[in-house]
This record gives sequence, structure tokens and C-alpha cells, in this order.
Amino acid sequence: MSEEKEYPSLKEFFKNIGLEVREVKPRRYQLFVDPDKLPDVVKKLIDAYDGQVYLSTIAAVDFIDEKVFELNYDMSVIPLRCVLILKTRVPRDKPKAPSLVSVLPGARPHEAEVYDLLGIEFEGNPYLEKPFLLPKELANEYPLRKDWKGPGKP
Amino acid sequence: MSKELKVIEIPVGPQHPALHEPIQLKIWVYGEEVVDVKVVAGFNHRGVEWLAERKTWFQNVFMCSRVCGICNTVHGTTCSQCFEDLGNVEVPPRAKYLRVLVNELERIHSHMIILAIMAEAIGFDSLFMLMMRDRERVMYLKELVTGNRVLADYVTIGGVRRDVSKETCDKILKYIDFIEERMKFYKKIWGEDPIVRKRLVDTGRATASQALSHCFVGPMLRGSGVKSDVRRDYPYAAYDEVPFNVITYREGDSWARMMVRVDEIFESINMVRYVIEHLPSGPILPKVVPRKLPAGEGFSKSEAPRGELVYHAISKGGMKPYRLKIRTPSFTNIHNGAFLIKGAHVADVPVIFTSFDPCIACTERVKIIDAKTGKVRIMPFNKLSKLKKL
Amino acid sequence: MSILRLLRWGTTRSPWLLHFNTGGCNGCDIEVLAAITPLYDPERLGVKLTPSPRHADILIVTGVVTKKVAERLKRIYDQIPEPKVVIAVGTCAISGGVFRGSYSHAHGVDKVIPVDVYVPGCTPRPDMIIKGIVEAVRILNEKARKIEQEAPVR
Repeated sequence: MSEEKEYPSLKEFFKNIGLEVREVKPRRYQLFVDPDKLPDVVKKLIDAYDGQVYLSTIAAVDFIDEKVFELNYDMSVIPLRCVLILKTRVPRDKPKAPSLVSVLPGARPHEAEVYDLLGIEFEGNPYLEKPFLLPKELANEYPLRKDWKGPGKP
Repeated sequence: MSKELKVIEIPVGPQHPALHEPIQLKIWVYGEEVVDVKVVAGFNHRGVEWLAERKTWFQNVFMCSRVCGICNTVHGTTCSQCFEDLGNVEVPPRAKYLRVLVNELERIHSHMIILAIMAEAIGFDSLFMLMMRDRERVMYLKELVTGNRVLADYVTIGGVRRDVSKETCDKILKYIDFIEERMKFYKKIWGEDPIVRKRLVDTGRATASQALSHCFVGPMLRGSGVKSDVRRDYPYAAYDEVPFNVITYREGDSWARMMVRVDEIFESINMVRYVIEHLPSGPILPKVVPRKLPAGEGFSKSEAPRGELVYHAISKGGMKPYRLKIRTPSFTNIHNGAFLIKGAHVADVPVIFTSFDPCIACTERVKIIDAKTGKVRIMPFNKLSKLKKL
Repeated sequence: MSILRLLRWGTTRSPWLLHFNTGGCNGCDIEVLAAITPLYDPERLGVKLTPSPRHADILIVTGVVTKKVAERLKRIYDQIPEPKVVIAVGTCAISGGVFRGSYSHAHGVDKVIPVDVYVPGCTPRPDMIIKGIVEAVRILNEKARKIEQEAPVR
């Protein structure tokens, strides 16, 4: 992994695969992707930058009014020193998304956490289990969903 | 040669109070060698993200500082930066420099404590006691600047809450010189002592491509040769003006990860000196800090002592966030790094696990399940580390 | 001198501590750790940390008691032989602290096991923790004396 090699900028890379990326703030890029195309886009990204790409986190949001779950994949591209946020949406009544574990093994605990707290199933990830973080009494509940009425009372 | 199966006997219970984040490691052993590992987490799950949706912005800064007590100023800084990003709040330059000062003091004390705990895990008790005694000076400096030894509550949305006086700056420079002298002595021990090297070198080796594909962060990534540091790549606070070097080591084993931390203490000491000498004058808070933040998305990253810390907030306008996502570095490092324990001896397990810096050295209990007979024994960590005879 | 009188002299002159973190932020844990270092030096009082509950006299509990850990806490408490004293260190151990109202805890250590000494603060200083230990030794002495007086054989 030499530092002297010239890497394409994110705008050029995404233009080559037919997508458009926006720079919302200095060094922060954002893009909407269809859920089925996501593992493919990530694989091309990893190959283009010689593997110097890592996933920081998966921030999943429950937009109950619009009846969707939005998944934000916060990724970091090391040679370009920037942050890329890939956004996808899955319908609330059928929360299934493809897993990135075959492409990027480090996504495993993040997908397990989203499955545990929000109930989105990642197809292709054999390590999903309930409960992962929650206590046994809440094994069938999804606390971060907006319609969950739980025992807590802040 | 057939392997003699050893079933190891140990009482249940938390081990040496040197830090605990109660977490359970299940290890399958064949004789002395570890064949498979499973991490059982969730003992520390407090429902912070659920609570964050029900508290106001300022209450959230206080609560998020208490996600981790060892790196609490970094959590406070990142949380404030995330909300400032959402609300477009400008931070005055003096506050930015003071944030860097407090974050670097935090880094020094956090690295010293994990080095002390590693010394304890390999049986070097006197080094543990010496490093803890010298660390008390850093806690005194933190108390001078922020008012409390551990939980600072120093950073708020828009700036910092207390200013530093001239006498405090002089005292900081005096004590920092003392700590640098002591750290030169400790660097010789960690770098050259044959007993320390024999326990740490070649245990838990991770190549650079493994580290990247498993998404390691922080000293774990830099110990495998990858030059990545959030302070350089995505600068925040005053890090674009304060000069420093990014430390990497090529070996990728536990020794390399601890040496990255030793060298980072020297870099932090230089940064503290630079900040004190170049502190700009001015206010520490902007004139108006809003109570309600507009709708939008806020994102902030920073370099905690353990790695990269990410805060991602989504707001629909109003007094409370709609969603707050916190990703601590230890979450990724522990779950993704567990595969490094495979193939090691049972007595190396505490050494490798402590080198991840698991926000306080490790597990309450280690369950050892013997693969052939299926017997289960439970062992506290400090008994495990004493198994290996040198 | 009766054997029980000898045991009481032994435990109160040199109480052995067991520390257990039930899921806190680790701030109180590093203060408990700092309390056994050379600057505060409790070893001159005979205080030593032990890894096993069967050898301990005093149990120090820090952290918010999460539901997953509450069962282990009860088990550890039952394994400590009489006479024993429990110290709850930190605001989180006393009442839940800043995380009060969440779905995943039993708020406060005294909802799971009986507590004798409370050390408040977020975080309490090591000097206050040592004062708590001294108070606990006094209570330990009284408990040991009660056992000695009620023993059928001297």
C-alpha cells in the first residue's frame, strides 16, 4: 500500500460506475444507493482503493411517519482522507437488507447490533442472534423502534 | 505425539479490580491451544441511545460523557461537535485549543493506565505500581484544569466551561517535564526488557490487510502498519494547527500495539507544550448558544485513546434529538479482534485481550470449554496469566 | 482465646476486598484502582485485593446494575462467607445516576443485595473510598462480634 500512488477522487470513481455523489460539508460525501446494489458498490470501492476503506458504523433510523428504516453506512476512505456516507432505505413492514459480511468481515458486530435493537435482518450474515446486547427479558423486543412501549421511564 | 488434555480449574468471579467492563469470553481449547473464541457482550448495555432521544441537547452532553469514564472528555468533545455541526454553532479559537489540551491529557492518563494493566497481566506488579503512582500527577493536572479528577464535564456546546489561569499553565509545564523524564525510563523497559519482550512479541499477530478488512481502529490499526489517525485525516478542534506525528509499527503483534501507545504519550506531551505556549486570547464561549437546534443531520469523528469515536445525530427540530448513534472504538476492536486469540496458548489470552485496550482490561470471567471432554471450567484473568512458566 | 475471637481479630485487622463492576462507565473503577496505589497506600491498613469471592470480606460494587449482570451479582454475594460487608460506590450504584429510567437496569445495588455503606459522588475521590472502607471495617467488627456472641460453642 504505497502512499505515492495516485487514487481517483470520489466524484470520478462514482461517475465511472454511474452514480453521483454530493459533498455536503468539507471532506464529507453522501450518496443514496438501492439496497440490492449496496454490496456491489462497496466491493468496487474496496478494490479501487486497494482495501484502504473501512466501515465506521451503521446508523439505523426508524422514520415511522414515512414507514421506512433508513440505514447510514459511515465509511472512511484512508488515502483521500474523507468520510463517505452511503444511505439506503428499506420498507418498515419488510425490513430486510443484504449483508456486507462477505465483502467486509468487520461489518459483523454492527449488523448484529442493528438486528438486536431495531429488527432489520441482514441476509447472508450467519452470526445474527437475539439477544446480542439486550437482557433476556427483552429478547423479542426492539427498543429503538418508535412504537415500542417499554418498562423504562426517564 | 498425542496432546495431553488439561482441564484447568478456577473459581468463578471478577478478577483483579484493575478495570472491568464485564464481558464474557468463551474459549474452546484443545490441550493448551485455543481453537475457537466467542465474545458474549451486553453486560454493560445501559440503553444510552434510547435515553438520548428523551433528553434535551445539553442533558445529552452530560450523559454521553458518562458512556466511558476513562475517555470522558473525548466523548464530551465529540458530542458537542456533532451538535455544533447540526446547528452551525461557531466555536471560539481559545476554546478549540483548550479542548485539545484536555483531550491530550486524557490520552496520556489513559495510555498510562493500560500500560500499567498490561504490566499487571504479565506479572510485573512493581511496574504496575510505579506507573500508577506517576499517573497521579496527570490526574492532578486534570483537576487543575477542569475541576475534577476523572469526570471532567468540561466541554459544552459552543466551547468550554472553565478558563485556565497563568499559574495553572506554569504548573502544567513543570509537571509535564517530570512525566516526560519518567516516560523515558518506562520506554526503555517496554522496548528492551527481555522478559517483557518474551511475553509480548509474536502474540496475536495481525497483518495490515487483516486489520483493514476487519475494521480495526486506533492503536490496533497503527500497530499493524497502517497510517491512519482521525486527528490528521479529518481534523477537528485545533488539530490542524498543532503539529504532531502519526506513530506506526510494522510488526502487528501485542508488543507493537503497546509501543504505539508508549510513543503516543511522547507526542501528546509535545502537543500539550505547544498548546500552552500558543494559547490564543479571547472568549471561551460564543455570545449566543441556541437551546433549540434545527432539523438536519450532524456527524462528528474524533480520536479517542482507543481509536476512532463516531457520533451521528438526526434531528427534526426542537429540544431533543430524533436519533443519536454512538460508536465507541472498543466495540469494533473487541468483537472483530477476537479472532486473533485463535491459535494462541491459554496463558496468552489475557495478554492479547489487554493489548486491544478493551476500555479497561477485560473480562469478569473466562469460560474454558475443553473440546474433547466437553468439561467447562471458569477462571479469572490474573490466574490465567500466571499459568505460563518462563 | 477462642477461635472466633481470633478470626475476628484477623478479619478486622486485614480486610480483603473484592471489586465487581456491574456495568458502569469505569470511572469509579479507576478510582477504586487508584485507591490501592502507592499515593493513597491502603496496604498499611492491611487492605488487599483478592480475585476470588471465597477469600473476601468486603465487596465493593460500582456501576449501574444491568439486568444481565444482576444474577451474577447475587451469585457472587452468596459465595462470600460471613461476616461480610457491601459498599456501593458512586451515584450509579446507589440510584442509577444519569442513566435513571432506562429499560435495561435494576436501579441501584440495594434492589439486588443488602448494602451497608454508600459512597456518593460521580466519581468519588479515592480518599472518600478509603473512608468508606474504614467505616465498613467498623461494621465488619460489629458483625463478627455478634457471630461470636451467638455461637453455641466457644
